[in-house]
Amino acid sequence: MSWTSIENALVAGVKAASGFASGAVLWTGQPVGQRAGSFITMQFGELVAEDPLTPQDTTAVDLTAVGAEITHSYRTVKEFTLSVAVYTAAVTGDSSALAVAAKTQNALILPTVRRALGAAGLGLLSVGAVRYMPAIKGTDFEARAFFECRFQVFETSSETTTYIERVWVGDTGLLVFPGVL
Amino acid sequence: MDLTGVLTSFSDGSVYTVTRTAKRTIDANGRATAPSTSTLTVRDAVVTPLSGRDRQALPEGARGHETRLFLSPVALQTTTATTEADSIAIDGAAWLVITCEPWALGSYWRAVVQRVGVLG
Repeated sequence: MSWTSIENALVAGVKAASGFASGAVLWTGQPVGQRAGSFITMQFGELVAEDPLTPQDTTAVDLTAVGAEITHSYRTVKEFTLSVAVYTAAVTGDSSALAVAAKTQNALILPTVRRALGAAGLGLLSVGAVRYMPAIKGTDFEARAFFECRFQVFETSSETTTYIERVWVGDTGLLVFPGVL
Repeated sequence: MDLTGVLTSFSDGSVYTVTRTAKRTIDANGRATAPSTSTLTVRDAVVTPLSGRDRQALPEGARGHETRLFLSPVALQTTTATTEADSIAIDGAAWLVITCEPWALGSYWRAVVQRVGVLG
């Protein structure tokens, strides 16, 4: 799992769902200063790891290979929220932040968008309610609407825990485990 | 009444380097691209403390920052939808231009600058 590819897939998904062009969908927290026109910002929220201590996979090891290291991999199910904020100059109508957020909220569950997200290892769990919160910007109103989505993703981490120190071979030439014979 | 000459006489001869940053663009993946920068040199500038009244005019949350008045014979840029704020090297630190407006008494620009960090 790569966060870069997850971020890219999320941006592509929101662009496809909202119809906004490249450059109008961006991650928050970047030093980009003021933005002009309508745009969407995205931000990761809570990241929860479920059952992180159960090893899900152990790499295949040749048990006759003295000195071979054994690596355990831990595949963890993670859930995270994604906050999507829409900013538009239009405060009413189909171009308003409310309308764009509602459209994006709907379109995120379309099969093509979900399939594209799935290709990046992302499972869309739920799409939250849209909140419309216009605010004063300068001397005018700016339309702002927000909603959150929940996603699931698998993250794998691994570590080398031990190695094969000795191998016993019996009279038959077969591998023998100490204590078994 | 033009007081440009009077203001110029207050200059201590320091030469200030201003770094001008192009507006960052957003790529197809929602990430800001590294901006290009250029520098310009400002002479005959006057740096003074900021008055209490000017400090009160700053946005809430920015009044406690180290702030000075930079009187410049050239116009400086602030952050807008199409430009990034200029950064001025003063006493080995970077100062960001918060506001810049024409000075009423001569050919100078009145810029409020805030210290943002030590130059590398």
